[in-house]
Amino acid sequence: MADAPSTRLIPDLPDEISVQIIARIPRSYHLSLCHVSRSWRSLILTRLLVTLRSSLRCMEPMLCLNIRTRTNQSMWLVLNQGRCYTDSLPSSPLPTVGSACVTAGPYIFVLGGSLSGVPSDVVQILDLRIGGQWFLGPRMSTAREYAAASFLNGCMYAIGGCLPSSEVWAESLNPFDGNPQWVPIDSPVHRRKKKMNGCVMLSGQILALAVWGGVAYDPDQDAGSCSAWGPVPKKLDLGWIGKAVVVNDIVYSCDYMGRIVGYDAGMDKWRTVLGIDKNLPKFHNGVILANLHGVLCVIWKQRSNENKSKEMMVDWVGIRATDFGSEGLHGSILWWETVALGVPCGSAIAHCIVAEF
Amino acid sequence: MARSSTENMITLMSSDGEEFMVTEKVARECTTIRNMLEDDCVITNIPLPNVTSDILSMVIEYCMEHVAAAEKAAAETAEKGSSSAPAAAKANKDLEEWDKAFMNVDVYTLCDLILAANYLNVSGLLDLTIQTAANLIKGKSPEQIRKTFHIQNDLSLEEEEKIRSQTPWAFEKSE
Repeated sequence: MADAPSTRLIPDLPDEISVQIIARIPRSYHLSLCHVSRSWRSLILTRLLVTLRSSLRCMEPMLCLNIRTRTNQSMWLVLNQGRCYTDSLPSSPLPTVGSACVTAGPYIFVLGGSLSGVPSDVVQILDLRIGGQWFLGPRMSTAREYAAASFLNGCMYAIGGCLPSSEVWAESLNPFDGNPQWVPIDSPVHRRKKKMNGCVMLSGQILALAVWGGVAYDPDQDAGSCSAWGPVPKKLDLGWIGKAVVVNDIVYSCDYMGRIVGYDAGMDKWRTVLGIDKNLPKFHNGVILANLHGVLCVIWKQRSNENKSKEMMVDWVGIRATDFGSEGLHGSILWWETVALGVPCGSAIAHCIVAEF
Repeated sequence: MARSSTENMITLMSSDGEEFMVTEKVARECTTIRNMLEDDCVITNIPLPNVTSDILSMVIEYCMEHVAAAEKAAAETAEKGSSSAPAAAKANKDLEEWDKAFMNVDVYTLCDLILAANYLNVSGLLDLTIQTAANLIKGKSPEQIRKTFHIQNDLSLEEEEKIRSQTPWAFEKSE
C-alpha cells in the first residue's frame, strides 16, 4: 500500500494502523465505507481485511439460503437474526439443480449440479461482500450432480456426484492460489459412491453420506491409501438422515422420531438434545440445520394449514447446546423467529449455508 | 499514590524537552521502554523524540491508572487468598468507565495517542484508541468520515455509482 499522506487511508495515521481501525467496523457499514475514497474501497475488498477480521475475532456470520421456486432456481437470501425480513442477494447466473455448496471466507462456491437435466462441471462463486457479486470459477474436471463438498485448511474438496468409475471421482482446488486449478485426488475404487446425500467436517475429516454407507476422507493422509479413505463410523452413518451440521465437534441431525440429536465421535453415540423437544415440533420432513458461529440453528417451513397466506413462512430457532457428558446433551433456545421469505408457499430451500468474514 | 523510596524512578523526556519522572513499573507498561530497560538496566533517562509532552502525560496517566488497578487487584487477592468475583467484576467495570472517560478527546489527540501507543507499544492503550477510532467511524456517512479524518475524496462520479470493478476472484492472492 502506498504510504504518502495524500494516498493514505487516514492521512494522520500510517496505513498499518488504519487497517486495524477499519477491520473493527461491523460489516453492515462496509458498503458505506466504500464511498469514502479509492483506498478505502479497495481495502474493503481485499483478503487482508478478511484475514485481519479473523485474527481480531471480529468476523460476523451470515446465514444464506438458496430458494427454489417453481420458476426460479437461483434465488439467494440472507436470514438475519432479530429482524423479521430477509436481505436479497443477486441470483446465480446458472439455475443448477443438485449442486454442492460450500463457503470459503466471504465466498459461496456452488459446484456443479444439472442444467436442464444435464450434469455440469460449472463452478459458480458468490462474493458476499458489499451486496454480493457472482463469478464463474475454474471448471471441475468432471460434471457433478449431488456431490459432497467441503473447505478444509485452505482447500476446497469435491467428492462424488459422478460415476464411481471416474478417474477424477474426487478432486481439490486451492481457491486463493494465483492460478487456481482442480487437482484430482486418488481414491480406492471400492469406497466410491455416485450420489452424496450430505457432507460434514468432523475432527479434520470430511464425512460424506451416501446410500449403502458413507465415505470419510482425511486430507492429511496419503490420498489413495486406506488411511486417507475409510468408512463413516457405522453408528454415525445410520443415525444421520439427510441434512446434518457440526457444532463444537458434535454432528447434529434429526432422528426418525423427528427430534434433534447429536453424535459425539468420542462416545460413538447419538444423543437426543434435551430441554428443547417439548417446545419444538416433530421434524418429519425438511428440517434444515446450520452452525451460526457456535449456535445450532434449526429452520423449518411452516405447514400450509397453519399458514393462511400464500407466502412461504419459515420458523427458525437458535439453540445453544451444551454437552454435560454422561448427563447428556442439553439445549436452550436463544431465539425463535418466524420469517416470511417473500416467495410462494410451495418453494423449497435448496441450500442453507453460513459464511463468516 | 504512596510509593516506596526504594522503587526505581525513570525520567522520560518528550520531544519538546519536558521531563516526566515515573516509577519503573509504570514505565514498563510501555513495551518499547521495557525492552530498553532489559537491554541496559542502568538507564534512567529516556528521550522520546516522537512523543510531545501533552501526549506523553496522557500515556503516563493511562499507564499509572492501569498499574494502580492491577496492584489493587493483586493486593486484594493476596489479602483474601482469592479474589472475589463480584469485586473483580466491579474493579473491571470501574477501569472500563475510566478508559471511556479518558477517551473523551478530539480526533487530533486521538490520532496522536494512537501513534504514541503504537511507538511505545502500550498494547492496552493501542487497543482502546483503535477501538475508539472505529467507533467514531461507525454509523457516519462517507462525507462525515472524510470530514472527521481529513480524507480527500478521490472517487470519480462514475466510480461513486459503480462500486465494484469486475476483478476476477482468482487474482486475489492470500497475503
